[in-house]
Amino acid sequence: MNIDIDAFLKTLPIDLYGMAGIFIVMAFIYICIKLMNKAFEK
Amino acid sequence: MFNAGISNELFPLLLFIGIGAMIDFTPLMTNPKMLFFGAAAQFGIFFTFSLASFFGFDIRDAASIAIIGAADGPTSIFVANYFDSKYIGAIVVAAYSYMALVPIIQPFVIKRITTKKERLIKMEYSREAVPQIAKILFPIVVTIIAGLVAPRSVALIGLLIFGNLIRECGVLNSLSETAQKELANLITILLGITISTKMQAEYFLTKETLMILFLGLIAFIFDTVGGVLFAKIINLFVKNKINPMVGAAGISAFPMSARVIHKVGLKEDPHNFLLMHAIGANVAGQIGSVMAGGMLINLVEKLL
Repeated sequence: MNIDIDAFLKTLPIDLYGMAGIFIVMAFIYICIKLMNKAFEK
Repeated sequence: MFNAGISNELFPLLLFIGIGAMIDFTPLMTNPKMLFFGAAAQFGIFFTFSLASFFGFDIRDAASIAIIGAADGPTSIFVANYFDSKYIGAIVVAAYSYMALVPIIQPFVIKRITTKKERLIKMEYSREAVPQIAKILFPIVVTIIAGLVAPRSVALIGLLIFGNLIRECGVLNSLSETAQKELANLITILLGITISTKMQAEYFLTKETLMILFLGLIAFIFDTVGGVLFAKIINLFVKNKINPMVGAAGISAFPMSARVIHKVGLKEDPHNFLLMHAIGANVAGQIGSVMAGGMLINLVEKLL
């Protein structure tokens, strides 16, 4: 096993954007669910 | 058979139809804030991605290993195959093994990062009915949003949602039953046989396999940690506290993780019913894990 600190550092932005991206998608879905529940409420 | 079902991603995608038909999004639609636990519990994937790179794995292999943390066989196969990882055999073995070990891994981790007082937090569940039209529109909306943000995830999320639409439309009951049972079981058998062709001794019996098994465990552990810590952070700002164990249910091992969390909650307090909250987080995790796979593919491709 070769320790590669450069490669590790290159992955950190991917980690950040990846997690942020998932949260952003979930936020959009959350808004859509709230709107749908309100629009089709009996 | 490998070329017929794995190289072209057919088997994982067909399996996702079955998984989609099994999922009931009602608990999530009743309590949509569980979506964010489904996001937080994907932390282990990205943590493991960095760790695998640190230990010298090529970035494509690191992404393929990290996706073990998606706790989802088809997503693991999809991403590992996309990156043409030579460790696909070990990755699939790790993914399915750790999914089966969720009842051991999660309670162990939860008890070490939560207090008794936190595990006793009671959560009320409101039984609001979700309009049927919303249940039908929800999968379509999810596919559109996911497709716009992470186009690479469209194949997976699209077929997951297709399976769910077969279930929710209410007029395709026999297709829904077939997708949930016969289709899912048939594809699982074929997957098992096909992946085994990548487990020849010279590829599988290596120290890298041991490393992958270790990293897979790390991914599952940090998925659990991510979900629980997110719940603890939310609890700093809200009046109605969230039981942090529900955050752990955001891992995509559906429905195992939700049942495990419910059981752990009942052990602490026999009157604390966390099941519906845990199911909401669990199905959110299913969406989250597919999004994580799509994000990884998109972001790693840009780096290459």
